Amino acid sequence: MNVKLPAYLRPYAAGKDEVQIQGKTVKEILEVLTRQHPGLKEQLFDKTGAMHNYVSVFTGNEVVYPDKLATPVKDGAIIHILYIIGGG
Amino acid sequence: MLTPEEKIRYDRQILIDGIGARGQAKLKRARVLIAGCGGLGSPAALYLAAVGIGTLRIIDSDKVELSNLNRQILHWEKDLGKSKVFSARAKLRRVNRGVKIEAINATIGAANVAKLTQGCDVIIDAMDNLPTRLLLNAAALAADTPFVHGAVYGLEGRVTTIIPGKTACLGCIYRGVPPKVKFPVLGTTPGIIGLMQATEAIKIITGIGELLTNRLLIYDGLKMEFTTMPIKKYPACPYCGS
Repeated sequence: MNVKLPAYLRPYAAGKDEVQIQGKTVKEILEVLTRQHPGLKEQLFDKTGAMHNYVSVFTGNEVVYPDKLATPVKDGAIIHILYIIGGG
Repeated sequence: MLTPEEKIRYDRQILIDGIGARGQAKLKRARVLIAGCGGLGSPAALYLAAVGIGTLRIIDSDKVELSNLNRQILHWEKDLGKSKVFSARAKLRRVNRGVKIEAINATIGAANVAKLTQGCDVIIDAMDNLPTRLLLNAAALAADTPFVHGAVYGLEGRVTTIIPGKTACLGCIYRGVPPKVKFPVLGTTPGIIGLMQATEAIKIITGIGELLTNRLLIYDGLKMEFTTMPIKKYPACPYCGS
């Protein structure tokens, strides 16, 4: 799967804006992603392992709510991770 | 009703299918609130004044600082230390003397947000922090006022339009507040995003086109890409959820 990262998170993924990850669910893909790029873990999840409420994940044109991370991901789907930005 | 001078001044807009003299008159009658007179608010206010919005209410409590000048184009070197709303009002009056400027030097908070947003046809969220954006979102929902959100970080920007009672709101997208950080921003990014917000405000007032509702537009200036993510009402949204 292709995981797209917002500008804020790219420094935690070696500057990459897209990362190729294999996985069957959103949860699995995020776990692999944070294993490959450990700096992302703290940015995406709190100490209990729950996704921060200021992070959103989209796949297949649908938002994946934090309680739905076990949602299966279709082959070739693009996963977008959004991090709140508030600058003006 | 437009004056003969206004018919000439806004001729190129009146020519647009769906606007016409009637749409231009709607713009003249409208009051738009621009919450924040910084990177996003500067371009939005400049262009909304130029297109002939009847009344612009601008709110900010900050003073102009040197580090603002890379992006906050309503403020110039001579304005350092001045209140942003008064610096902005002086420029906007020179852009279009036909536009009434309500300059309010105030901090938007829970106690005054309802009063500050009262009587506006559109609210433009040009703030620099999420807590105030969420306060404005709540006030817009309570007053049934369309709300146009914009935000920037570096070369990335986001825009969405919220129609209370009909579309997803800011709370449906952003369910929490991240740790506060000093955000980087290239001067052109809020220029692009602020003008998109202004365009949405004009479309709301005139009724033309298709609004950026239930969609979050993401601008990536590094790749020069625009992506639109579909968003929907979050059932547990503390602001608009059932």
